[in-house]
Amino acid sequence: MVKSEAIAGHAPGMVKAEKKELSTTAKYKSSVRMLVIMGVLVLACIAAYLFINVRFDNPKFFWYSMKLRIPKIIAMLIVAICIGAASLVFQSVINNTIVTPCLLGMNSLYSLIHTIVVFVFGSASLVARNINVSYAVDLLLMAVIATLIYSYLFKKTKYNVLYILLIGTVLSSFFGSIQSTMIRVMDPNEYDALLTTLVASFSKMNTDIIIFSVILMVVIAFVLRKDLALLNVITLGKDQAINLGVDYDRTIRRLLLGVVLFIAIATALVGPISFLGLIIANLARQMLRTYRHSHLMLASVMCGMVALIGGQIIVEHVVVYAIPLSVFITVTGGIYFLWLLLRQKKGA
Amino acid sequence: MKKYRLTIVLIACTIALSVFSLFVGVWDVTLPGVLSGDFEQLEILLISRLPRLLAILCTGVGMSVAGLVMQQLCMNKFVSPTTGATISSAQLGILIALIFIPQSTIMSRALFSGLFAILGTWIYVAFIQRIKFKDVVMVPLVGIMFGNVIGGITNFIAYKFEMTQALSSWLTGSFISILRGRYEIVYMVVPLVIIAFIFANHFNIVGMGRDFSKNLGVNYNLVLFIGLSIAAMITASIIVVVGSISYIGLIVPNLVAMFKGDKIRGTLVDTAFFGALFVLACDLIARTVIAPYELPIELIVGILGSIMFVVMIIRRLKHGGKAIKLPGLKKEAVEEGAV
Repeated sequence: MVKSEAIAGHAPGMVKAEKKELSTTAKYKSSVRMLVIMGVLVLACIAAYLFINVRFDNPKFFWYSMKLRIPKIIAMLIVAICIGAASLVFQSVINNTIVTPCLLGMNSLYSLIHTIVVFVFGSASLVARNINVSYAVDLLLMAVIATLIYSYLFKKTKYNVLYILLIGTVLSSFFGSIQSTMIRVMDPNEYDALLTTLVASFSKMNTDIIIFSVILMVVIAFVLRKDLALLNVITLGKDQAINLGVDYDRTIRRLLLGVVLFIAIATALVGPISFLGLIIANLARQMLRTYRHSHLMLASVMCGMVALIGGQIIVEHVVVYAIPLSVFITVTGGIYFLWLLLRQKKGA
Repeated sequence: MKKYRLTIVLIACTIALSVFSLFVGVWDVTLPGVLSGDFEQLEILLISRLPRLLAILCTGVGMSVAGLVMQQLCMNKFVSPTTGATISSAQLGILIALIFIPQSTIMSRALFSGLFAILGTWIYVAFIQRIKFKDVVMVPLVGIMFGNVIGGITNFIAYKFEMTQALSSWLTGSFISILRGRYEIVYMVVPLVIIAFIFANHFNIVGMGRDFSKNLGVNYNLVLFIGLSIAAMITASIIVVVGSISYIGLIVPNLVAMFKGDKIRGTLVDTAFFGALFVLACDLIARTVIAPYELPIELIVGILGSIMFVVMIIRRLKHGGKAIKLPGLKKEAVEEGAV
């Protein structure tokens, strides 16, 4: 077990050992400095996204473009927060840095559940017509089903990361197959009516549910605030955490539920993006070299914001929609993932 | 006699199901009708049903044999055209053919996709051989990611040349458009499978490792090279006609090996027939679920195959090396995987 853990991913403790020379306060300061730099970068990206190619001379044009761009940027910020935070929390909970919830197929599960809800209720029902109601039903189902499936999976594999990953990738293609089967079985008229909500993407963001998503996010974060504060202790390992007085199983359960819901929100807004979480969570860990989760989470979220908004600026203005952002993320993310696997190989 | 019982049962089932499948469809084709020489029924049978059946059989046989060969050569039970980047490279090849030779025939597309499939598989195998993975599960994991990256590149090129829609027919396999005159390239599978059968013992030896095969006087690199190329060519010729069908190459050889062990010559025939049977059954499901319409078979195979794969992994986790035997792997590797 010890051996396979060493192969499959390094605990954050190892990072610390490498950087022994820095004192704690110096490290604290350097990570705060890093966070400030990131914050500035995020603001710059937001400003650039909002104001590139906007005509300031005519207020009518100005407000028109703002009306188009502001919902999009809010959606991207929400997605970055959800994916960044969820991936980081998930990695800490299962104590491995090459696993993210999206790689385990949580986002395809959400797409599947949404399709099933639409399929079962039909497009004429209240559930399908009121987008917020269907969203709420989706989230409820997702919370129940995902917790069941994944906790079973973790228990069955005894937290062996490679097996979890392999089963996760297979599950995500399983969910995908069922979803496309249902879409094909669906009445073409219904499919047409629901096309936008069924397949969200960065070019077709599902901006109708922004307000609901924001409220939900705040509520989840508020409910889980105590569990999030325990993350630093959780990463010490199960025995240590219990020793220090943490109700380990309950905390893990609640955190996983939060992760599931956050992923659902992100998927509902922009559709599945598998590798983003992997990239930003690992970037955050590399940049900060700390394991204070309050800092790591902020960094991961801000990396996500820069990646998404910066990426979208490039897609919209530089290459003019020649590359979809999701394709770009898949290719770089896949290569990055392979590199992570191999690098850990060498370390072992 | 007992030795061949499974083989005989499989052959009998395949024949029975094949005959049954000929008479399932929108247009009523009945045995008395065909025998009495009803022209319309005969036409349907010859133009659509029979080609479809042959394509199904070739696909089942080809994909499962390709999977078996790859598993033997790589010494890993989880390698297959799906988890070894072969399918995604073949798709990339088709796309390149479509873009650079717009008036390409199915033959030249097959050529391109074959070339790409061979290249992709070689690169992948060279890659996993250079890095000695200790855990069996790591190999397919790297393969899936490798495939994802190639798939991403394919998508990007398709998007750039506005070919996404054209590509989608090679992304989801289906037998819907199989008609006489459009599928014959799939027969390539037959000679390739025969070659695989001839070389079977060599593959077995290569599966035992470089040193061992050198000891027995087998040219390791040459046989590895031939074996992988055969598997890749089989995959490519199926993908050009049918589209990609995942999991068959993964599931079928493993299921057969549970009963028959790992000697490739002993299992090859069974694997081939079981593969044909599996695809036939999936195709029947795909045709009957929403009749008179039909689903692409890839979806049915994807659902059934992924469930079976997960069960396989969990079994392997539970029973260690016992449930699925690992030929040629060193003892420590088996223990490692069993943890």
